[in-house]
Amino acid sequence: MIEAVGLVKTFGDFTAVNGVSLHVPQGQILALLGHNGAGKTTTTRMLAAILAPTKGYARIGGYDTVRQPLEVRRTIGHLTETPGLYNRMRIVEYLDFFGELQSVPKKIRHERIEAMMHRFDLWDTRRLRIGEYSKGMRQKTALIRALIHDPQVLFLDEPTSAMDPHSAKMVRDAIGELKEAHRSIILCTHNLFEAEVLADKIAIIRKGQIVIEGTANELKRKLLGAPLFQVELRPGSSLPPGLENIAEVVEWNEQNLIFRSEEPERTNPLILKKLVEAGCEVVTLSEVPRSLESVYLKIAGQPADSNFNRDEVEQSMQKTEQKSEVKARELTGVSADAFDSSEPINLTDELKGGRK
Amino acid sequence: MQATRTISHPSGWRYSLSRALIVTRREMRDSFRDWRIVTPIVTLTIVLPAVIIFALRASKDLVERLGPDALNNKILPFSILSVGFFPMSFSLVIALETFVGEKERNSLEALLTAPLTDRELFTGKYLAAVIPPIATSSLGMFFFVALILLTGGPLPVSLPVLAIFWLLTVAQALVMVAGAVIVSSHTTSTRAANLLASFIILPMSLVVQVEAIILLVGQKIAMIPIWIALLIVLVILLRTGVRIFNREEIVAREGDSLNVKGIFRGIGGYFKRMPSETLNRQTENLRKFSPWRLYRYDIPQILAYNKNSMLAVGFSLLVSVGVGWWLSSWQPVQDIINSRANQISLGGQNPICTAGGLGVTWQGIFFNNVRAILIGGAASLLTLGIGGLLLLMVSIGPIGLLGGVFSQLNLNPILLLIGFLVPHGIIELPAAIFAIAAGLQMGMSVVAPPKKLTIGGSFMFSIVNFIKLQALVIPMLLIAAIIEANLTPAIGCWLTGGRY
Repeated sequence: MIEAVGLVKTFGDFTAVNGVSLHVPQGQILALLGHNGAGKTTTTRMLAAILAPTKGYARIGGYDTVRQPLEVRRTIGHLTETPGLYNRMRIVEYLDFFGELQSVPKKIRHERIEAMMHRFDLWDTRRLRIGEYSKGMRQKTALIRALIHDPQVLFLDEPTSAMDPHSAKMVRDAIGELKEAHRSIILCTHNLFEAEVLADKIAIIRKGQIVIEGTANELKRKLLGAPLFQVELRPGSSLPPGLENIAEVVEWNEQNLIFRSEEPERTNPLILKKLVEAGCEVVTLSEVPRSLESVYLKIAGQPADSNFNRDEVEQSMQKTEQKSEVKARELTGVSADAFDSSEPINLTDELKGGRK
Repeated sequence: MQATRTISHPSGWRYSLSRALIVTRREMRDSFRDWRIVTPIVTLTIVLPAVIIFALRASKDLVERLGPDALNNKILPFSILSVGFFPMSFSLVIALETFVGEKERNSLEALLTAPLTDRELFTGKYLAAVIPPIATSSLGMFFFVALILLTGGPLPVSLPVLAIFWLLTVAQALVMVAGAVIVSSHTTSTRAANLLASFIILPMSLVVQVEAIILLVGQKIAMIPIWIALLIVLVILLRTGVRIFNREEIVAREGDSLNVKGIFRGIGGYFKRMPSETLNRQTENLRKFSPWRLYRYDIPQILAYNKNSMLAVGFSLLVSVGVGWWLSSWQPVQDIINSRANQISLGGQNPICTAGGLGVTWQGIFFNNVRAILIGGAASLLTLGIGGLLLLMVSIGPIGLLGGVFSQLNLNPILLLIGFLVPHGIIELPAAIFAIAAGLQMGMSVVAPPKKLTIGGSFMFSIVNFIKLQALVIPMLLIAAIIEANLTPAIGCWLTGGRY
């Protein structure tokens, strides 16, 4: 539904986007993460047929963004970075204007406007001028504007920014419903929780390049290593021998065992069994929560002037692996070969191979 | 790879216009909700005409001191034009609000994602900016004329002249708004746009002053050429507006901040590169700057690039010679000819030949011409190229006038012109055309930038071209000045035998 290949955009000597390729099938959400100026907005502007790419091409719903810009704009709904509303208008009048521009028949657009205003709790404010709206209400108005023609593709730039938690949840639910209704969505956000909850895939963009792309779990695994598990023990327990042959032990003390495992379904029962056999009293076993924020900061959180690109992401990921191995060796005294069973991911190949 | 989809949608100018009118309706509703716009509309359309008419009627005695028919022949007709012009002042406010104001408030991007072509968007916004001032100007004029009739006066101008007045007012509104669109397209804030709007207000106030002079000398019909000139300017501005009002330009323009270092770097870059390298955005294998490159590549490329401007300048010179010739039949000139006929007669002594020259040195001629070229360049820069062009036309026009005068005195102008103009003119005139055409390019650079350059880039590129071209123009002027001071009088006197 959304297909971009090698998009490049330069303004004079400045390259805003440098070889971005994306693919978002029907019914999927791609979250585009990156700090301000990373190239998210320029990328969506190219996809929305507002800017022509300097190189590369994009198709939205099968329409070429350069040769068929009108068809592209009929296919998309675009929630822009700033709501950009007309303050002297009332909401119904405002939405009706955009509905008319999108050639939505009068009766349908009136029904749709009313339904969506109810859906987003704006119906009671219909007599106010938009200038009197709060930031959250303005954001919701802009979202309805993007949805007024029931587009097949959506570009949502910070859809819940400036919203209270209740409204934000309302909007997230709506985005989820749109996904269920087979819409293709690109979500540009700084809200990592939102990205993790809503997106099927996450792409992190930096200096106009997508440096990493995958599901939230894939990104965590790629950048932070395999999932970590923590076993809480009664004090006085000692590490049973041979545990390191099952999983990578990251940390051990009398009360805690932290290990990394690629196959928790297979390793965790074995570890529990070993611990119990060794007389350890297990209190809890849980996965150590790892936020997308850690992943994001690892890549996008680098100083703005650093040249942190795909190569460096690879190096960073290799370092993560090596660090884990060293730590495990320090703790257990076993050689790296002992971790063969964990089958480390070939990160370089994964990255070079792009999306699956 | 996925194939590109195709689908048919309605098209044609009617459909496009209907799409544009959606934007127009919204913009106009929005404008008329703004008290800053509504208040002057009411004041200038209804209150001001009423105040003027009652003030004129009340001060009848005072007005009559200006002449027996001053009120009906001069003051009331000019007041009709003024009443029509006053509401124009807020046409700029609407236009700047509609274009740059929306960009500043970030509401334009939502509109850019709508399925409208750039032209539909431009048309919609242009109509929204131009309809209110035209409607209110027309209403103001109608109201004023109605008040004249209601307060017992005769219609001060005939209906055809009244129609010309109205057409002039409409043309002024159209030109001002078209100018405002261009100004808006070059800025990102209403503050900057308001500053640049003086480029529209100043020329338009000059037009109004010319109209006033025409009314004072009683030649109302002479307003038709002004109207035609305004329409020509309108077509140029609209073409430019349509060209520069596009999503790419609007979105890519992010700020108005002055980057002096960047300007100097830019100018330096244009100096280093040949014009073709700049226009093709070539960054590699650049030919190193040298005097040889300047004369072998840069100047020929600049001349080729300026060829349309040179044609325009050449055509304007022919027009100015024609106007000069035509003016020789003007009564005041005829009076001068009649009074001097005995001094300039067939077979009479030419004073240049009896004095043995022009009485000026080549240095004087040279510095005067260089100064004229520099003033022309500066004037071009500030007046979209028109100032420099007018300066040259005013200098060349007297040749036509002299030709006409000589012809009326039964003298052969051809021999005189060949003898006293061609020897140095053959070098001086091309030099002037080169320089003024480059000036025209400088003036037009912000209106019609080359495809691969930004407005700022285009401006700097044209200035650099003007400067580079002086490497050809100044030596040409030097040679022409030496010839004019030392050879031309001798050749002229030899050809004519020292007599008329």
